[in-house]
Amino acid sequence: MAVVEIDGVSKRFGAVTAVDTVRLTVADGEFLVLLGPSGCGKTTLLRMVAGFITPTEGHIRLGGRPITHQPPGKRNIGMVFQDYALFPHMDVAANIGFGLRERRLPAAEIARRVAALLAQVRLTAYAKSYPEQLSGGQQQRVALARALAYAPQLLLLDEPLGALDLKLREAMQQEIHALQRRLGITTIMVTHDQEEAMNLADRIVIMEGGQIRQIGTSQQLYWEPASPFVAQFVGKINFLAGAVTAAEADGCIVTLSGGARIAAPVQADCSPGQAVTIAVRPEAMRLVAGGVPPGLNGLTATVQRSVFLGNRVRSVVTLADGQDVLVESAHADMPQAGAAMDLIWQPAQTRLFAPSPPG
Amino acid sequence: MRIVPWRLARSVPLWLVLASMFVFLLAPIAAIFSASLQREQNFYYTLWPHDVSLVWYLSIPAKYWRALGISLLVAAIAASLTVGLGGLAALALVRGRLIGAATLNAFFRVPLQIPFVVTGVVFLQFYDRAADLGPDLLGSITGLVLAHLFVTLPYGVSAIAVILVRIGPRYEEAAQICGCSRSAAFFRVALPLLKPGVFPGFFYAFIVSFGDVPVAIFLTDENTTTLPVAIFQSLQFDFEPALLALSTVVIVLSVALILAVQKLAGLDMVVPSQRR
Amino acid sequence: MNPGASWGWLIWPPLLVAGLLLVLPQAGFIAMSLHPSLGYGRMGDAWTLVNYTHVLTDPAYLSAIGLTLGLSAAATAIGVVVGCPAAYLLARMHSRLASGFIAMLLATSFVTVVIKVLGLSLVLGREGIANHVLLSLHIVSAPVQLINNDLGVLIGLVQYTLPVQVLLLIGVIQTIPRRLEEAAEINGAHFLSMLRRVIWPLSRPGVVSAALVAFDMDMGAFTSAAMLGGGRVLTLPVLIERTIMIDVDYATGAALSTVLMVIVFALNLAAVPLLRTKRRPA
Repeated sequence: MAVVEIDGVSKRFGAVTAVDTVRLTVADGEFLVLLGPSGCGKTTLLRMVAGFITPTEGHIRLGGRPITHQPPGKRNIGMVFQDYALFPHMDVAANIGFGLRERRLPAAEIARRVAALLAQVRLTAYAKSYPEQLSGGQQQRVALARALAYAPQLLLLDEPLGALDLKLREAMQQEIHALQRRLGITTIMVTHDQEEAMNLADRIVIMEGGQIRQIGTSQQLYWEPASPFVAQFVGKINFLAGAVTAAEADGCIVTLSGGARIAAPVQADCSPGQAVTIAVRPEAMRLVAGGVPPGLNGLTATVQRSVFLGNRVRSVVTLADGQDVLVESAHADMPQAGAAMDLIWQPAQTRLFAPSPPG
Repeated sequence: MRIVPWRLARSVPLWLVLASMFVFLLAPIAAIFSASLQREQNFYYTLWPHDVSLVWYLSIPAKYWRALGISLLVAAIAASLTVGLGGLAALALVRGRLIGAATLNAFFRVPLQIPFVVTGVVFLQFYDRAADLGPDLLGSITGLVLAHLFVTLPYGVSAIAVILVRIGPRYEEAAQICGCSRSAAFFRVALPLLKPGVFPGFFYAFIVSFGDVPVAIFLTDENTTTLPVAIFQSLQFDFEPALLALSTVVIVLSVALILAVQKLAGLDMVVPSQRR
Repeated sequence: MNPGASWGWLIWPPLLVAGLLLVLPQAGFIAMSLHPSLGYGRMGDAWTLVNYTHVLTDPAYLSAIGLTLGLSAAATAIGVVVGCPAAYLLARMHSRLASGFIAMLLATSFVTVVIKVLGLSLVLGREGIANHVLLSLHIVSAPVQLINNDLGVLIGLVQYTLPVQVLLLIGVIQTIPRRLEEAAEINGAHFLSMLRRVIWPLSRPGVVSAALVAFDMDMGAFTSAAMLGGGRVLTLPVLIERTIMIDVDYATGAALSTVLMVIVFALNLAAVPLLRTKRRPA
């Protein structure tokens, strides 16, 4: 069982706390992604699991075995580094077989395994090439093969796709996903790219300031963000300030600072007089002319600018009180700049947060 | 912070090597320093002076101060010429589209492969012959400067060339877009950026010239001699304890110089980066 | 207008100066070695190779050549063996701590050779500090001859070239990204294995290049050999100085110098293949 238990792990560098009491369990065979802005501690946490940094506090266990103070080489972990870190003086086959040679396997066995891995990443023809002769995507696959060569219990990926262009990145994401599913290996990946995280993860861990802000599947994080930070980190979201003016069993009414009244489902801080921040996703909103249909929330807005993005139209509109709101719609018709329209959405799509400044 | 055993185990032997190396390199300097403070000079030297006294510092013969002055002068001129001419060469080699740039590069590096003592002999006989035709360069400041320049010019060229390659033309291009002429862009923008090349080049040339014995020993006479040659000859023929004091003075000056530059401009002003 | 062309003109002043300083003296010098010596500084008019045959067949001169090569090789080797671990530690160290050590290293190399050798003669003498320490630690029972012999000269050569080698090696190791070490470690390599399989192959050209620099310096080293050899250790530089200044035999001196130069050039050239990175499938 290659379960990873991170138990109360912290890392302090002098006065700076890079990782603050993180508790996390990764299930066997799970693909877990650590997501967050730069400096949130995700890379530090990964490197502690790898063994390059020793935690100031806490323990790490792999398959029940404590590894907190073990050298990286003894942990039986495979890792793909940000810039691949392929050995420039060795050819592809030697790179892949590096860990196997360290483990003193017989040469024939090494050759067999390397050949199998080369076939898996479709680089058999490049066995004798050197890293500098390969493209970025090919180097990536070699790095992956090298990490998996000795059948490790855990695979770590440190922003492995950062250096690739968009199309290649998406193709590699597919490959990594397929490979992980096929092998069933427990995997932890670090990235700052939200879409990549959602593409690959079974669960995502949002980190900020060294702490875990929320753990969940992509849907959980997107539709039920626990805080404004998570709400605006995963996808785009609009925030509006207001106060609860009425609360009933089936919903509450929030009056915005501009005076408009918004209906929202019942959530935690729904007591009258409570100051709240309203959050609505851009794609939950629509722009219509000719009034707000009954049962829907609505605000008057003036269109500032519309942009055609292929599969959707993104508009920036300004409310009566001067605030800007982002609207995204799948409809092809673009609202005219300067037009006065009604911004409408379903009350059920409204989330409420305690009024802290977003992000 | 808890020290992890496996990390410690690997670094201990390395630290031992490093420490031994420094003890080895610093021992002679420490020895001179402590010996210079000892009143009674009887060739029995211990780590710590018995009876500390500054007597030797006060009795350094004038000829050594004169030699020090000559060494400083020669080194300063040679170093200045090194960065001046070396800078021109570096600019031409890096920026000019010269045919045979690689050969020229190798040409400028040739003096580095000639042992100093050979250079000394070569220039000795050259000056000897030149004396028949006109200028008497033996035992002259000019003669010393030229010979030292021959040896130090490669350092100037390579130190500045490395920096030129690193900064590239982009800063001057930005300045030109803003309205500067080419030469103004060079003097106002590029020249200050060349400091990490000019300073180390100057220092290295200065140190090589100042400390040189094998070249200068052939080119000096009783009137014009450099400090290292003076010390060398005294050590061979008549050892004076005052030399210990003088040496300590030179050591202190050298170290003070490095520290001053490091404080003012950072370590990369002292060390030529990536000598190729 | 081609901007490159105008930069190119700047080459003329340094080229002329360097050219004159190189060609004129060297030409006359090599010419001089091809004339017979008539003693007391006079030269014959005939062109001859007698000086070279004299130098290259006389056992005294041959042993001087051998001695110079041997001492230089030994000093360079010591520099590599001590310098590589020290440079690795300094290159991977916390940069502020490393700056302090590097500054100390620079300080020792800036102190001129004469003064360092003077200090060495204090340390290495019969009643000097080194013997003092060896005797009190009971490593030897009687004072060891550390000066006025080959060993003293060797120690002097190492003092001369070790700092330069370490400084160059630090640069070499810094070009190897730390991530490669981490990649090796996570793949299971322990420290020595990582050094052998990753650091050494990648740094070898740089180590060879640094060793060549030190070797060239050692071959030409005059001050250490003259002062620490006590007049008995006749390396080529010492011999050359003696031949010119004391024997006033310009022809032989010139021939010796040319031989020294040629040996250094030849060895540098022979080392060029070692400067390429080793590429092996293992």
